[in-house]
This record gives sequence, structure tokens and C-alpha cells, in this order.
Amino acid sequence: MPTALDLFECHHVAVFRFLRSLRLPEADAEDLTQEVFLRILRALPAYEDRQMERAWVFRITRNVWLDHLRSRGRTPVAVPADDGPPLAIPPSQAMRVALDEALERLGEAEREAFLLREVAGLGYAEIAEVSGTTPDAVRNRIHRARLSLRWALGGTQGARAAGGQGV
Amino acid sequence: MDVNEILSAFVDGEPVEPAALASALAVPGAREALIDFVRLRAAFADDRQPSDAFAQGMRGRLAGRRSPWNARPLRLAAAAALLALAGVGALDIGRRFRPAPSPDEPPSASRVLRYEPGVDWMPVKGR
Repeated sequence: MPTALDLFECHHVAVFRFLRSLRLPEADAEDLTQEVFLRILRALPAYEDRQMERAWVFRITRNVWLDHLRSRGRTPVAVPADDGPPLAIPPSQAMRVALDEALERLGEAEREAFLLREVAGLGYAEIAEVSGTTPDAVRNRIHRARLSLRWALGGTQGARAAGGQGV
Repeated sequence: MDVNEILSAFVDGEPVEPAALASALAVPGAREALIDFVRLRAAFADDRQPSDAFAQGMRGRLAGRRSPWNARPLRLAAAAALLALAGVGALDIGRRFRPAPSPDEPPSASRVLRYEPGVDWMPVKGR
């Protein structure tokens, strides 16, 4: 049976990165990561379904994030100019900005599913558990997110040529 | 399932039907779509870490505040061990500090002889 400390060691970096990918400044991401694991500490005695441990951790992360949004009245979170890029390896400034904007334009469900997959590394079944939906719906959301973000990448020539054919 | 959906699931390591994947890859532009999905993954790869001070602080908090789920059996075991130790200690102290006999008192008996009325103590002739 893992302790809260065990869960922290396994998941805190992924939780932190996921929160950072939601455009939180580093200090806020650390605060919310702390809140996630303090909630885990309190909830651990009642936690029974240990087959989906990572999904459970990220469901709590999602709840903490939603509470954070509510407490701020759902206002966009400002990222300080000197806080570093929200994405890690931008090949160019223009592409990074385009990807950020494209990510912002995604629907909440698509953005969440995509970031849980790409940043936190969750599988479709885990994301479905976190978001309260089905793996099929997750697959569809991630696919739609990729299609939207793909054009922000600049897309390959072939992709642009075949864009009208649904590929 | 849409061609892109199949490729997207394939990139994510989710199960896809081999025949469906073969059909999807045969569609013009599939190769480019796959490459773009991989480029997206690279673009969103993240190596940021929380600060060491944060991680150390959290380890201290989580290690210091064990959940009741973990702590209760430990506390019960510790209390039982303390009780057992206290019992053993009390017995030992009782033995060590038993009052020594006074020099004026007779020593305690090492053998007890009982007088039984009616028994003839005289030796029997012929024996």
C-alpha cells in the first residue's frame, strides 16, 4: 500500500508539469502541486480502487485546478514575461507563440485530454477516468486537438496538400 | 474511426486494428500526419522540475504527517510494546528491591516436619 510520500515521489513531477502546461507560473504550480498531495494525504485512507493510481492522482489534480479557477473567477492566469516559455523546446519563437495560441483556442475537454496525454503521459483509459468519460471519447478529443494544433506547427507540405482530404 | 484518429491512437501506443492502420497509412498525406503528430509530441515535451526546496519541504511534510491508515497500526504496536516493557520492568524491579531479611529473624525453613498424633515412634522389636 503506497503512502502519500510514495505517491509524491512517483507523480509530483508529472503533476507539476501538467499544471505548468496550463500556463501557471512556477510558484503557483508548486502551490497547487502541494495542495494536490496534501489532499491525497487526507484522502488516502478512503481510497480503494488502487488499480488506477495515476488516474486518481490526476483526478485530484484536476479538482485542485478547477478549484483554483473558481477561486480566481475563471480569469485567465497571467504568466510573467520573465517566467520562461510555456513550452519547452520551441524550434522558433513564432511557432511557440502559434502553438500557445492554438492550445488556448482548443475546447477545455480537448486541451485537457491532450495535455494529460502529452505532458502527463496518461493513457486513454486513465484520461477517461480523470475526465469522467470513455476512452473512445478521449481518443476523439486528442485526435481533434492534434488536428487543430498541427496547423500551428506549420505542418508538412504534404499534410497541407492533403489537408482537405481529412488527413 | 477516422484515418487521423487511427494514426493519433497509434502514436499514443493505444491498440489499433492492423488492417485499419494499413488502410490509414495508405491514404495520401498519412505519412505527413504521422510526422506532424511526432513533431507535436516533441514540441510539448517538458523537462521542467519543481525546485529542490519545494520537493524537500513536501517530503518533510508528507513523512511527518503519516495518514491514520498507516499510523494507527504502528501506534497500537508501539503502545503494546511499551506496556509489555513496563510489565517486565516492574517484575524485575520487584525482584531487585525485595526487602532483605533482618539479622534478628530466624532463617526461613528449608524443611518442615509434621507431627502426626497416634504414630508410635518407638522402634519395633525384631527390626
